[in-house]
Amino acid sequence: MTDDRLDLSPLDPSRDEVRWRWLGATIRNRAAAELARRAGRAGVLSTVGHWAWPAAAAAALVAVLSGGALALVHPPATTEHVVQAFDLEEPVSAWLEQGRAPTTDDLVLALERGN
Amino acid sequence: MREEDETLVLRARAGDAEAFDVLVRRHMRTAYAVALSVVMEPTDAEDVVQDSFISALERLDSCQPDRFAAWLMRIVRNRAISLQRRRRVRRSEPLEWADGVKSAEDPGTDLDRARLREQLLEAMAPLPERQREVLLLHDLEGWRHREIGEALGMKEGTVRYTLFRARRAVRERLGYEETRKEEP
Repeated sequence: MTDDRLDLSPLDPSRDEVRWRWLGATIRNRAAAELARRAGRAGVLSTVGHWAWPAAAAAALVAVLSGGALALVHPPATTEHVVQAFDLEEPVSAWLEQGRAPTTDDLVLALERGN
Repeated sequence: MREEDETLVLRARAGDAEAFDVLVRRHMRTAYAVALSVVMEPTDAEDVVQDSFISALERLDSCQPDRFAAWLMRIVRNRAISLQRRRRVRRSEPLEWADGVKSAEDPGTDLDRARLREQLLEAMAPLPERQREVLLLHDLEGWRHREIGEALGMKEGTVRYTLFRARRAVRERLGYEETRKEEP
């Protein structure tokens, strides 16, 4: 194969400089409306973005403070609280305190006590 | 310093007219070559280039910024094919602006160039579209085999062979004496 180029310069669109520049200008003119729309949208997004971080930071601060206040007023429930609240007796309270699953014996015992 | 397409696309997305202008100037010639390889009519190719850039701008958010050139060329090719199909159904009216813009050059030069252009287009017309595209990108736009291969999804060797066949066919149709008869 050779690298014997064909002379395609008669097809070169930019040889007609006036027409070529005119084509570029036409594209720019037609694009102007869309570019303006995008610039406007970018402006709005930028404004929203400008306020978004301070707003998010403030919301996070409020959430942390609220959580702390709630924790002080209503301390988190412990096993002891649950046992007291539901008035649970042995062996159920023992399972909860030991954090283990009930055995068959435990279940039989619990049913007998329930009766 | 040459600004990368990626940066320009991001700026154009935000409505930066200057960035879009650079993209247009940078890719207009290639877009024209791709369009011409399909429609084979200079004024139609110019029309396709215009519409493709506007379409690309409207859909710029869906473009992967570092793949802008390949993405734009797909738009150009699809638009050109679409125009070609429409044209087969109904020969379109000449574009208003196409007739409105006159060349600044000597009318005689214009005529000569128009004649040469017609001859080249006629010689290229029977070639498969892919051959025309490779030929225009290489011999008109000065792309390298590797670049064409990447853009069109072809192996470099295939690009070379396609180009060889396209040149040979055009030369034969133009009635040139073949200086070399060697096969690849």
